[in-house]
Amino acid sequence: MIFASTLFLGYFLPVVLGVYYLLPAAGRWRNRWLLVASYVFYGWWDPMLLPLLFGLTLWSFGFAWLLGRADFTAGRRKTLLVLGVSGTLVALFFGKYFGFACENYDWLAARLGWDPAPATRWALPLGISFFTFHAISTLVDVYRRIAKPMESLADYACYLAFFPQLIAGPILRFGPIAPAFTARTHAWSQVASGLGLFALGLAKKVLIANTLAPVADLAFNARQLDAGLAWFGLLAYAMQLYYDFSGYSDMAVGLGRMFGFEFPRNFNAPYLAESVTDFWRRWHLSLSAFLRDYLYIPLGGNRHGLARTAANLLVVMLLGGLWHGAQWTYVVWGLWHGLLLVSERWLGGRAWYASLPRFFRVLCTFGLILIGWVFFRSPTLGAAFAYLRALVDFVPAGAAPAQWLGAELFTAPYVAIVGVALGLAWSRRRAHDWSMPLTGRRALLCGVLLLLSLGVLGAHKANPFLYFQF
Amino acid sequence: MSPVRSKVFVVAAMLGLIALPVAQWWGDRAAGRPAAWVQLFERPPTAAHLRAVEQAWQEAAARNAYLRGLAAAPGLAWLRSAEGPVLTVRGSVNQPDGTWLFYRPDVRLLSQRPPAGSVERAAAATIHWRDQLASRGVRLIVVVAPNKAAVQRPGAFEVEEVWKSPELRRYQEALTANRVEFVDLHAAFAAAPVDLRRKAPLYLPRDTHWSKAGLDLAAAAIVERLGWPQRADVYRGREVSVPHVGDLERWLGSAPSGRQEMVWKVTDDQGNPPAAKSGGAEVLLLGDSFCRIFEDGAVVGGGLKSQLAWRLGRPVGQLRQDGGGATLVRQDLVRRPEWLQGLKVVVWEFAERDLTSPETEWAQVVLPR
Repeated sequence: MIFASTLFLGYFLPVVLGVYYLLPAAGRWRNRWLLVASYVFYGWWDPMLLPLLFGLTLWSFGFAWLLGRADFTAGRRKTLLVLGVSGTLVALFFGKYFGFACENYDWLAARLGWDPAPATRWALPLGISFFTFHAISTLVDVYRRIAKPMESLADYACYLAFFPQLIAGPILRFGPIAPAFTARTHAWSQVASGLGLFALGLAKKVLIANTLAPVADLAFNARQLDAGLAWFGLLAYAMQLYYDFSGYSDMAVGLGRMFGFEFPRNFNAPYLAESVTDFWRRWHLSLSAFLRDYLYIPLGGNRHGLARTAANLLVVMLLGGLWHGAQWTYVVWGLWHGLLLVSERWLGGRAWYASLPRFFRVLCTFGLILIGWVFFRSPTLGAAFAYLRALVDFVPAGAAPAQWLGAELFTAPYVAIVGVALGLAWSRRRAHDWSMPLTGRRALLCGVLLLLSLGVLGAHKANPFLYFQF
Repeated sequence: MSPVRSKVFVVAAMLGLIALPVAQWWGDRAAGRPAAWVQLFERPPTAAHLRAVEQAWQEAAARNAYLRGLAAAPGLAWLRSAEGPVLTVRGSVNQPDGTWLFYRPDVRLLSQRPPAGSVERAAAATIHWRDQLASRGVRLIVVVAPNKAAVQRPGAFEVEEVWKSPELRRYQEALTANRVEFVDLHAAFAAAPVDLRRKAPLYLPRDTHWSKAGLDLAAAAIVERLGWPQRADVYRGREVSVPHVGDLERWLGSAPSGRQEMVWKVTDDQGNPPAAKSGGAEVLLLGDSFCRIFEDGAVVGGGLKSQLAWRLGRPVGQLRQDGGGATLVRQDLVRRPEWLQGLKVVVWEFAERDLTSPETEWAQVVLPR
């Protein structure tokens, strides 16, 4: 079930929200209901995945409970932490990276004359990248005594499976969010604000990202490209990815608000970044913060000289790339960002174009980010390098494939939507702030956007969110 | 916003969402269909069943009057126009309003990388089919009808070269290597003088298929490959102007342009179009809608079958399956073995899109013993 579907909007959301507010606020009835709803939401993809989610819940709840005991020595607690996190990572590895590891082993084995790996493969369990991170966050935060383990297994299961953030985040840190599962306030203004933000996110996804999806798909699967087509396709993809993912995040945060939770903001006008370092303070903030606090700082952060800092940055970005998908293209994307961050660190935390006027700083950063998106979107490294070559191929392609691609892409709706998307991405308005508090006029606009999005959804087949594959 | 206004907003928005299943239920009830949600409980909730239910609900949503009303909101139709099945291109010198229509999936087969393996399946099926016919003493001539977008191009439609895809080249090479007879219509169309193509485009502006000029060239190339003497004195041929509503025009749903198209109409002495009965024809044309154009409905006797008959001076049989030139029409021949009696040549036409479209099946069809 995806948020941008008639199934979720017409059936699931009204029922879950309606029953939630009919249940007594006292006691844990509402949490139990959210747990049931979340398991239905997750099981809708494939009921066979529910034991995995439940197993990971039991595993991390058990280790968190042990880590929370006051009578254990530091050494024993550390052993428990390593065991608990390792078990979670094993689930992540087998769920997400086993096939990739086998493919690479087979490639090597073919050259060395070894036997190939067993042919066993399985589909990526949806949302595993996110709920394993939530489990790790629980264990580390309890170990660091930032938070106490939850007493109720049902409440903890609700935290791990909570449907607004289950599939594609934002990644919730256990410490800050855990108290809300025992006590939270509800107000109509909060529900209205959440609904407004949800409507904005839905419009971002349905009206902008889904409209741009064919442009990016056509460009990245083209037989022939020239620079004009390649740049237009890349711009469209950059906008599609941003509006798709930030739209999903807005919907998730909005849903959280409707049920009395306040999730962290996940985007902060990332394409206005003036350096790559700045970009990572604006893009997928919950992942950046997770990697910083649970990986970069434990590795030593920037406390051991420039060389060690550079190595740490590269490791973090490489793993961050790999987190997005078990493909070499994501590894190279992570490496590209790692190298850019290292170069800026080398220059004292400034980009090499830092002396230019702000407009050009934003433009240069955007260009570097776009180059990274080529690796992010391409199916193979070969296709990525071919696309990069097309970006500098300024001789117009005269053959029929490129002419027809141009006839399809350079149409008024596509050009207008790319322009609007770019304009909004470079404006200073943020949906997160705009919806809080929600004024009457804004509510009206959100209502119109909600209805328009429903109209588009009715006419189109459901289009999954890009970040579901991660 | 005050708590009261917040409450009003939330309730109104929720009513807007709940209207969706209510309208669905109402529509299903009016149409005598069971309610959509009932399907959910018809089988155990496996992933496959849940996907099927979701698919059915999404299709039902497309019939939902409430959603259709919302989709008609100003601007949304314009936004979706970039994704419709018909691509409108301007810039032809031959159209009064300068508009040409193209079938978007055909255009995409040209501009997009095709899935791997389809050409190899097509070549294997073709060679197998040739062997099947050869065992009956029947000769096979393969004709690939070029994609309209490969011949007529955006901008200066009439003066560009005809684009031959790498997949078609590979297919042709495989056929040549296995001595399967092939009529290269791309080459025939490309060889036509530019002046002629400018005056009379080879494809119809508002239809997926070829025009009289394209049909002329195709028939001439097939007859040349056949190598039989031409006898233009048996049937009568004359150029007539006929009203024609293109398939793309119909699809677009716009008001018909009322265009007249030129057709080379072929008749016998009695004024009837040339016809072959099963069991009596030496030449049988197997094909898809490229064989239907001007041989169906209001206009009969102007299509490929009649063009071939006029040039050869003998009736030509025809079996036709719209969109099924690759496999369905061959299976049709298996079901009608009477056509094989006395048969000497099968001219097998299919659309270029069949070579690369992932939806095309390339079955190995076995003729009855």
